[in-house]
Amino acid sequence: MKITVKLNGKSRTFVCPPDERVVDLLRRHGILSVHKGCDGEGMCGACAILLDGRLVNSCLLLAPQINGREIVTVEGLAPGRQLHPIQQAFIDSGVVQCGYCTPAMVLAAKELLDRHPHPTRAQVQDFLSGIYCRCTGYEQLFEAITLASERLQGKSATASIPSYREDLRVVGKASPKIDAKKLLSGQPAFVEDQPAPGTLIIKVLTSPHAHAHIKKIDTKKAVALDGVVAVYTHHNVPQRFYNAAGQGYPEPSPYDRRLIDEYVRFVGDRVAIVAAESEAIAQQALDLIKVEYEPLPALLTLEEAMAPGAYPIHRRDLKLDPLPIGADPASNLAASSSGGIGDLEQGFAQAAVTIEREYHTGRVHASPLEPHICYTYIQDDRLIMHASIQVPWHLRRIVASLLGIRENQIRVIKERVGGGFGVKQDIVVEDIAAWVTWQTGRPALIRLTREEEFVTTRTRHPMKIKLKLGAREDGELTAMQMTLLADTGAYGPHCLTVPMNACSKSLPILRCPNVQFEVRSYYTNNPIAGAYQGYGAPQGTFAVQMAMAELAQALNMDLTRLLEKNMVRTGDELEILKCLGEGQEGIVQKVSSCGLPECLRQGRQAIGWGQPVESLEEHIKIGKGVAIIQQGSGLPGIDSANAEIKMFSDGTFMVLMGGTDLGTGLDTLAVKLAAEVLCVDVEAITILAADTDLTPFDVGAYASSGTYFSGGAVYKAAQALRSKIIALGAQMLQTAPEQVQLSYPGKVVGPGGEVDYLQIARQALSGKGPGQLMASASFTTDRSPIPYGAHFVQVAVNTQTGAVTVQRYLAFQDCGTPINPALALGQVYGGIMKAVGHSLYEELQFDEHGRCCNPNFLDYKVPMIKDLPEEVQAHLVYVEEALGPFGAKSVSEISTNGAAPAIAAAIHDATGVWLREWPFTAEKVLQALEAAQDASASA
Amino acid sequence: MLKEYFKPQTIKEAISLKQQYPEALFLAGGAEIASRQDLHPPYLIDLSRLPLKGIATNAGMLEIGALTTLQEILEAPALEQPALQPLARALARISNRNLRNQATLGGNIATDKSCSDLIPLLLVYKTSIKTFDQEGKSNWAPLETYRLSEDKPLIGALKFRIPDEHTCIDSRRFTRSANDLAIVQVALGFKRKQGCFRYVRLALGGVAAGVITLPDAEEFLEKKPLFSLPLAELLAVVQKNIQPIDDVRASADYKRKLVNALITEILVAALGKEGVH
Repeated sequence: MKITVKLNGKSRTFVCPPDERVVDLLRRHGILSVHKGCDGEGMCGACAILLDGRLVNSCLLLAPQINGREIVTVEGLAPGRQLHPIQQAFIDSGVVQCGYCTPAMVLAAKELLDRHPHPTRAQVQDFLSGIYCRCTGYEQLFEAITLASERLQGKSATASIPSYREDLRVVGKASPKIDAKKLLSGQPAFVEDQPAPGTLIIKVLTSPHAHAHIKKIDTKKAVALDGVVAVYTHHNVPQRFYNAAGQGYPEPSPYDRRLIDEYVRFVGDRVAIVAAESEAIAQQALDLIKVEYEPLPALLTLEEAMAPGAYPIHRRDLKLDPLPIGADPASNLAASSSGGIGDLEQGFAQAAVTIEREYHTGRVHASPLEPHICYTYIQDDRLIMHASIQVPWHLRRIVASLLGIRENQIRVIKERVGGGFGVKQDIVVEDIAAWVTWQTGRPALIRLTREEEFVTTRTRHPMKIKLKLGAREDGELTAMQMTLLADTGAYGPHCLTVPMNACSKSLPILRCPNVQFEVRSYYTNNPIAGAYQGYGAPQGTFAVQMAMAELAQALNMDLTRLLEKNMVRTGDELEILKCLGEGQEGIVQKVSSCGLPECLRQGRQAIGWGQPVESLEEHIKIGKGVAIIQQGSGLPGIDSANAEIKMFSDGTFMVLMGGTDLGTGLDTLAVKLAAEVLCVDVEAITILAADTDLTPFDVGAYASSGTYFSGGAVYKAAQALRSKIIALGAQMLQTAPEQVQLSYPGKVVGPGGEVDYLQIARQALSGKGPGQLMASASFTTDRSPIPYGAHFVQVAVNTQTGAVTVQRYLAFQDCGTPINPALALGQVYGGIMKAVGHSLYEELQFDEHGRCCNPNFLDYKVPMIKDLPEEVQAHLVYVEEALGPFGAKSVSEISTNGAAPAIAAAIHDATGVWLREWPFTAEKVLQALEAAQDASASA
Repeated sequence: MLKEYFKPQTIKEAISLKQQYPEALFLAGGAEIASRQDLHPPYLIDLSRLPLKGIATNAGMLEIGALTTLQEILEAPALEQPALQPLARALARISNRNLRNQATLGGNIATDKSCSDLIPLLLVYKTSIKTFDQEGKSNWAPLETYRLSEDKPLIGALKFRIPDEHTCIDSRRFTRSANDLAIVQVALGFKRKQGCFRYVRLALGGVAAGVITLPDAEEFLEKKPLFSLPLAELLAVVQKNIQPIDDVRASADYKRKLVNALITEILVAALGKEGVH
């Protein structure tokens, strides 16, 4: 049918089927700012448009519904390449991260400010209530909208972003995220914006059984279907074992999977791959594949998997693994490790008080708004992959090995990533797309549905952690013992390293001479666990910090005093790290800087620690809690990063960085580091990153390595280029290099005069010059600065429903020098809200057959803007740090570690009840309250 | 597969299309139909051109056209009066705004879900529904009657008498997070008359296949003195009349507890703590 609409001010006529969703119609006609983040149930808002001035989800509209009506998207907010004041305010406030939801947020702000030029906080929350953002934690949106409101009133307002390091010009100061404009205005940015017409659509047939052997599979009808180009099963794909975890080679993860196996090990495991001319045909083909399964015992709990004589989920050759990881597949043990320092027995013997507790954590999903996606094609007889991935080089290595080709035959181009958070550290869909294109020669696209995203990608590892602590009467720790069981699911990417990280990012925050840990990771027939922001640290920190809170109670001591007594300080040697390496011996670290004392001091004051808050209602109990947290900055001795910088012919620069920006702002950070070193504005520097053809190697974005490693490489390259500029400048000024210095903006100043970069570039490129000025650098290290923080919360517990409301969330975080303060704060807010989610309501649930019951945003609840604590504040506490570029440490992952233990401590403070299993759903809290009541009644 | 999409200009035309294509679905805002992946209607009758929009108060009655969106109702000046605050609050609780901008009152009623944020409250307000019969003649009937009818006729509007100052009406819901369907909904209304509960109405969502009213509990409360309410007995009567089930959102047992908590909360808000024992 034909419809006519006014789209962004222009009358347009479209021909479309009557049941086409408006989001598809718009994307088909080049409106790329509308995105699909859910399966069309209207729960994410990423596809929102203004329809006759009101914000609605375009996935819930059929094309004929908009006939004769007026539609506005961000593409039409301002003429040409200009930005609307709201778009500009979003940039200036630093609220753009991955950018996948941002166009919808801008439109929501537009409707809001059209109706309420001076909105209240509640109005902002209401107008933005339908849009899911996993990155930003929402808080900075209030400031962005206030800024837009003031500017629309004609005031010349600026964003109030904290500033650090008076001695620096660019670093520590507010500057716009360099890709923000592109993300805000609907320019092609994501993988889904790339596919050419004629691209095959890939769908995967997945297992309905938690564990089965495929006895027979008949694809004849599917293959014969018109429009089906290829069908793959375990019969016609390589049977090579590999590891899908994007980790540095040799990986500390098992080679336990095949592209498609004849065994399926969880509901959602691959059974067949179909590539067809359209999604509808691919879907139809899936239905035509006949599979005969022989069900095998399904082990759905750790206990079942660990039981003596349990059916082994994997039978494979351990010799395939590149590193020994303590596996014993015959007993479903995927990986194990243990170690310690001091004498545990003696430590407990010295203790006046000993406590032993067990803590459990649920299965949660990172849920980036952009699901996993990959687009592949052949160009110049090579395989080109457009990926939304954290690890372009690991991807290239793994795919090359899988296809049996050499790495120079593959190019990986990392596009803008619509949220990664660890779940895109693995090769989840890319191997499939690569296989299809390499076999068929055709361009191919795989994009997961939200349900597939929940079930077939990666989850956080559920863990059961036993903590035994011993302390003297004055609170000094004498012994710590941590025994950890992890459910790695059907395959073992990260099965050793996540549990190890749960120890190595939670135990070393406390000084204790006698420490022992043991980790064991088991295969089960559950979805695959993997990396998710924090990488085990949220679970480990939950256990350790909870145990400290329970120890404080046993000692009748204030929790912050107990933490202060035992926490590490600058200069401490972290001996325990020697035995907490990643499949190899770790490196003892000296704490290069530690902001914990200041974080605790500021937090105590801000929350009013020790001052009870009276509740106005009898059934509402109010309490406060705290947790101290740490992470790392990349993996010393394992990670490596590389960068190049070259000077263009007018004295501007190009940075080529291997580092992978996931929407976190790494590209912007790199440009700022280079601009600071090279004494120019950020606008004088362009960056191209994470393209395996054009940029040098980087392990990728994980383990909080971006700032320290990728940033470190850029910093070193800039320093090297700086020396070359100085040398040539001095030569041009006919003086010695020691006699000149770089000066802003972009010139070399000597005693007798100056030359600017334009002159230097022209001289370099002239026949008499040294050639183009460029420099490259590699960054490897055996040192790694540790970021620290303290999170304080105040909660209200409704004792009639069990509902927990986080009233105040105050985060104090030390990241050394914040290179880009607004983006650093955004990382903290985002981390907080992810962790509030897994603390209170996020959890994947499964039935007795291992089928996921809530693989959608209707049933799996993620925090929306109305779920924000009544007050949430993040503060960056400056500490001097020598290791990182300009004293920077990592900032992203650490902020997911605090919420669960701090909230649990606050619930205890309010009600006297300990919640030892996240999420603390209202139902579980009420049960605990009732159990406590029953216990005290019978006592 | 959608074969045809109709956009009738008149109510009569809409009704005759429905007679001609019995498998057709009426489409109001469209949020429900588009979000249901299991629905594949061969024909859709888009009602958006029909004159069924708007909010009016007349002779103490509030009347709302079926095609009025939830957000439009919320913004109507009529809703500012105290007696309609419970309706305004219930509408505002419906997260999220994108859905309120699209979903219509008629669509919400026709969908008639157990977790509906509005139906329990509308039942307590004693809402009547205007529907159109096969000849296009309009006819008012109680909301309950419409809900029981087999062939759901086209809804034109709803209306109810705006309660006087002696009437207490309130509703509560419980969700896991802000943007969630209600696990349990409770709406309660009564008149304070000579120190007693009169004309009690109690409706619950989330505790049976659909929204239910609780005549036993209503009867139990009827004429009980306002300030010595036997809460435990009332809750016992309520519990006898509900059949919640376990699902991913909550266990049946917890839903029962929520019902008690929410009813208690409404009564305490209405009568003060002293009035509830």
